[in-house]
Amino acid sequence: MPSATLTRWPTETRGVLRRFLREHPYWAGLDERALSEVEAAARVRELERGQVYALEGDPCDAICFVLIGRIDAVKLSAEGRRQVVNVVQAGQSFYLVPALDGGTLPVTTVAATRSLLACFRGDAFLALLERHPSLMRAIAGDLAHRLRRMGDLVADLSLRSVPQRLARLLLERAEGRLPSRMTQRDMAAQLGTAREVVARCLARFQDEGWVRVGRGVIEVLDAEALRHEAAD
Amino acid sequence: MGAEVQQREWAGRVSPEIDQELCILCGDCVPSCPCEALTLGVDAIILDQDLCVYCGDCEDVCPVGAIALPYQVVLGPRLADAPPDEE
Repeated sequence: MPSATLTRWPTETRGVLRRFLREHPYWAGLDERALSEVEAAARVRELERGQVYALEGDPCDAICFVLIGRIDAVKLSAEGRRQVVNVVQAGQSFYLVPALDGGTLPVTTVAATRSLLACFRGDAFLALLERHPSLMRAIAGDLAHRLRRMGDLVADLSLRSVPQRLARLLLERAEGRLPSRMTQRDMAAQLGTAREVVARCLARFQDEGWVRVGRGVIEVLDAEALRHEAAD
Repeated sequence: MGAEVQQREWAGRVSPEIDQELCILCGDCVPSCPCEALTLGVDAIILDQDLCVYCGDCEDVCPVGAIALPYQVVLGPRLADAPPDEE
């Protein structure tokens, strides 16, 4: 169990926020006075692993930045199936779009690990944008980048399933076209899915006899079968 | 043949990588481990390599990404040793 005397989990969470505001490129164009204004507008929130932050369809009351940890953005189907559509890493934000367009939350957010968030009320964040053009430019740049990535992902998702994309990824790595060393989390991030999905696909590939997953090594045993899977 | 030996040697000594600089000693990984391979030391997380089964549960719960379980993706021995015309 975590020990209160030993842990380096921050007890002074405002300090983490201050460091984030001074190190993250979003706020690079702001002077000390403006940073203090941003800091005053932020509320720091701690989430335990598995804790739901907000539900899809709810009104948006804040835009959030992940200071520490990881947040899963998930969609729930009518049958209760949970699909991770995005993993928000430390330094990244979520609910920016509903904060800007006034719509409801497009996804449910759940803490994938113990996490620390900086949350800004939507209207307070919009006021900051209006007062600080450099922040507005940074947000616009970030949104453009996300839109581009989303476009690529939609094209890939509409054309290929996760197993197809994983098969292609394994072949590229095994045949030396790309660096061969990666974690399952890296694979999931590249494929736009969750690590559990990658693990399930690898287990299936292993059952089929196409790969052998060992301790720290994934051996491609049947490249032809993987090529066939990737092309399906 | 050479490739097979190399892979086995590499796989034999691989273990999860814990970045002690990044680690904030929150201890969340300790109860997540199904094999009780992790303990919270005075100033570091300690891994018992013999108990670890490389399942990735500790990597999943770490809030700061201090634990990584990398995989080397390689062609299996038969494919790696196959002459080019058999590929």
